[in-house]
Amino acid sequence: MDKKEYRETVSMAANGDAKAFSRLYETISREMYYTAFYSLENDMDAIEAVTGTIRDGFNSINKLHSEAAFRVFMMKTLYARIKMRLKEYGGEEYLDDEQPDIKRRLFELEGVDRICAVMYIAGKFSIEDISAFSGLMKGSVKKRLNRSFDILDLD
Amino acid sequence: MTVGEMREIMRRRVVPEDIVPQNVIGLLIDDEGNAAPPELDAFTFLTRLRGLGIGSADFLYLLEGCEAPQQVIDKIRDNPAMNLQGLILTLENSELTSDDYSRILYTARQIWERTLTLRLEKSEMALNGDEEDEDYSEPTFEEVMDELDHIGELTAAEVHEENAEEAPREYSAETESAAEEPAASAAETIPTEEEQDREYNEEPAAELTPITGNTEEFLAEGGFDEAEETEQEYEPDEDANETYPDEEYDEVTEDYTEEQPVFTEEIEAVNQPYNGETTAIIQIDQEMLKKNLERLAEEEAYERRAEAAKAAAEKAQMEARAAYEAARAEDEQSDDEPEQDDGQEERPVKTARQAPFVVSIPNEHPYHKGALIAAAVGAAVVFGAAAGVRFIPEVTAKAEIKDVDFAEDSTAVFSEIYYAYNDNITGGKNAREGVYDYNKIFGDLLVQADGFGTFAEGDNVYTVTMEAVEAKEFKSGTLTELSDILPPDGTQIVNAFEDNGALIAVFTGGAECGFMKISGGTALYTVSQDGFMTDFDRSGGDILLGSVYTPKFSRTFGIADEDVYLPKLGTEKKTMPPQSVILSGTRGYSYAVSAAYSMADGSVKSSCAAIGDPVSASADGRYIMSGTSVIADKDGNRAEGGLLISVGEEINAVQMDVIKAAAFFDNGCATYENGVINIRDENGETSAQLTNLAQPVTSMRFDGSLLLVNGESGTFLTMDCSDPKQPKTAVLKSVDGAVHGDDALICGKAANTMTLSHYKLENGAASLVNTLTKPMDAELLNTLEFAGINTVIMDGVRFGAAYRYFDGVSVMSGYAVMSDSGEEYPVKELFDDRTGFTLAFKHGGNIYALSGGGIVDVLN
Repeated sequence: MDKKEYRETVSMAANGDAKAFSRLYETISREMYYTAFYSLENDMDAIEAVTGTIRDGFNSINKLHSEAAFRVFMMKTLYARIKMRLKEYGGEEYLDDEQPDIKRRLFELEGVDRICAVMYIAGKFSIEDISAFSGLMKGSVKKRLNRSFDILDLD
Repeated sequence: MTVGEMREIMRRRVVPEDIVPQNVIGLLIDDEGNAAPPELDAFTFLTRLRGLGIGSADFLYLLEGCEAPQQVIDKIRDNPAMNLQGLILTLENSELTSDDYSRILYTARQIWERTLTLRLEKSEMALNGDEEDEDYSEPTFEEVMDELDHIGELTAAEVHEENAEEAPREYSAETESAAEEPAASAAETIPTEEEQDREYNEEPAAELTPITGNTEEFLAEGGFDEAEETEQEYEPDEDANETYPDEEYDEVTEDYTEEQPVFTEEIEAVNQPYNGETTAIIQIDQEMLKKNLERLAEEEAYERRAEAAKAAAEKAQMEARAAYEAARAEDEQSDDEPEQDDGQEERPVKTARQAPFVVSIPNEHPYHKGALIAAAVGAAVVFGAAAGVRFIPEVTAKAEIKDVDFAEDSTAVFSEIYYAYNDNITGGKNAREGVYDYNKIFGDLLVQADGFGTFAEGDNVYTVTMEAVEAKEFKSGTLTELSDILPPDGTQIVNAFEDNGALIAVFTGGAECGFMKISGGTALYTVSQDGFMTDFDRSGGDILLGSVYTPKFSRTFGIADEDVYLPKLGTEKKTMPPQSVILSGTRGYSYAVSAAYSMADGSVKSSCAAIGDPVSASADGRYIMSGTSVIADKDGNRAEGGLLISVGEEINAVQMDVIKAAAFFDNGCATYENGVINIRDENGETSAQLTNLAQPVTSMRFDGSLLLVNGESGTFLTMDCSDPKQPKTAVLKSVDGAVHGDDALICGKAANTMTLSHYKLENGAASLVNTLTKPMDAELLNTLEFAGINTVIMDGVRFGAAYRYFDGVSVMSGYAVMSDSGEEYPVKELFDDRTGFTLAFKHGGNIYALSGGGIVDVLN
């Protein structure tokens, strides 16, 4: 989406055009879902985190004047929602039998490490992006990723 | 398993139907099928107002009618030059709420709708011959307001309801098509003729165009991106704290046992929402009606004021010219003739040579009114105060303190920190980290680039961006990626240049700054200096850095822990000797640090610092301390206020007023004190003043002797201070290209021609040396794009760059080169290449360029 198209779409979304907003959301929808799904216990939690973020985004769209700002806003909000939900788990995370094996491996990681790793691997976000979304320093993100890759035994 | 394999598996997961983009629309729409309109913010509010053709005078009137805070109205009225960003900030900082915006918009829409209705009625009457007067006349403001009488019948709830609708509903097809305009194209810039001619506008609708133009420019430049980015919350690196367990340090006072946030952001208290509940619209409109006559009288008064302002501005210009001529004449005579009183009783008389030159922009001056227009037109131009120049002789404040002390040992430094810390006076709050980009100033050109360029050294090729230096190797006709050389965590690269074949990359961030020397595809050394960079310079084989450093105490420490409270620098980040720290009182424990390093091996050649409340540190040992410094000389004389400390053969300190921003250049410095910018010479004496600035200054920086003054809306003033006694407005022309030392290659378009121009910097001015031209139809020129700084070659002998355009059939990628004598080499062209030329470098006397199809030998 180029700048002009983005601006027009934002303008429409800011005027309450949900369809226009969905076009903006489309640019980041998969990354959001993967981040939520692999960070949280189950699909229901992931969908709840994503839908909450979508609503937040729609309410704030008139303040997001670039695609980058929109992306950062959505992922920051999602990150915060995932962290909130992780807190609600109270340190006891439970994966049911239906969850894929790859998710089980990811759940060997500590919560924030897992979110960072998922953002990096499944979301294809850069360290700078993850730093912007999470508020962690870039160095801290790097360390968390290295630690996670060691645990996951990734090359 | 590799990351890629894991990614592939993870991304196989199917996104649930509930949250696929097409289905989220349902989430956002309420039960009645209406999407909830998001809350209005100032930007959207202004955009929609503009869409309704509301002029600046009507805007003020609407604000008044809707009981907006008087200070907001006054501020907007008193600052006709306020740009869009200023307007947004003013509104956002006011107590106006989204509901208030809705209410104002509602009223504006009513005015607009009634105008259309009346216009239609009048035109119909004219067509039917009902009106004797054949001349069609627009509905007057009174007529519109009369028509608005019935608005009072609406309830407050209906205001929201109607506001949610974008287009009026009750009119004929013609009206409706006109009515859709503002809603459909809120950001459209050019009002229709009809809109411009509307009588009810106190000022023509065209007057509003700059606001929108500015908006578009602002958006085009991605202005909000930065604002959004700055909203990112700072979270300390958790891991960093882990390295200092509290148990290890149990000395000194308890105060040190807890971490105190050093960069405590000052957040303005948010006022209570203004008129959170929507008041009945009837009150507003009745008031509007009552004020109608009053308003007409005001309009007349406004016109009279405008006339008077114009006359005053012209007078000011004439006076300025006369004063300038007189001063020049006086200056020329002053060497031979004794000083004479010119009769100005109120001001102390000095010779023109001694008197500071004051650039003042009177409030009533057209510059203030014209600023918006200038900004809208000059999307690619940084502009300064263009008019209102006059002399106001003034006596420079006498320096009272002439000497300061270096600390004898670490105890003295510790003692300063101890008292400042106990008093919770951090210092350094007026120091601001610079905002960096790839653009460079070259004479009167603002050369816009998309990176720091490509550097070649033997078989190694480096491309430099703010994030990293990408090292590549060119061997046997193949370019291989070696590694990314990253600056330290939390920093970004802000400059890169060649030194004896090696690459020097300068970096800065919140906590440290420094530079890396890169050769052979790797960093030979990294020099780091505590604090963020406030100045950078090169001198011979040395690199000089100035920084402002505020220690972050995360554990208790004692006198012996110099590594905790003294600045560290060098390749091994060693503590500065306390004897090189100047004590400037107990009003802060921040440091202004400057040091010189050898580019050969990164060794520290000299270092110096001043502790207190710094605003800026120059690379060569000059420090500006803010208004809270207390300084004591050897005789015990003490003085409070801002200070300029210069370290030369002796330390010289000049007292100043409260300093909010500062910047250094070779011939002196600029300080922002009491709403005035003082241009100071090397002795700290004020040689010129810039007064009556259009907006408060947030930061300043020098590029050579060009002063760039930044406010909330970015750079708003550029002054050429090559003669500090007579700074001149500098207008920069924005161009695409690259700068390499004293050479610049600019890519441009002329009539039916693409141009590559080689400029040389001579006496601070960009002087054209040669231009390579390629004839190109206007249609093709429209599609022409410069391929970026990484494709530019400038080695002093050859100058080349890549570009691409669409010829109607294929995407053409070209690489053009000319010699220093202007001789043109055959252009290398590619048809429909996947990427076009993305990088160019020298190797073995040839120029090679990387394209989607591989490496291309450009000259053969």
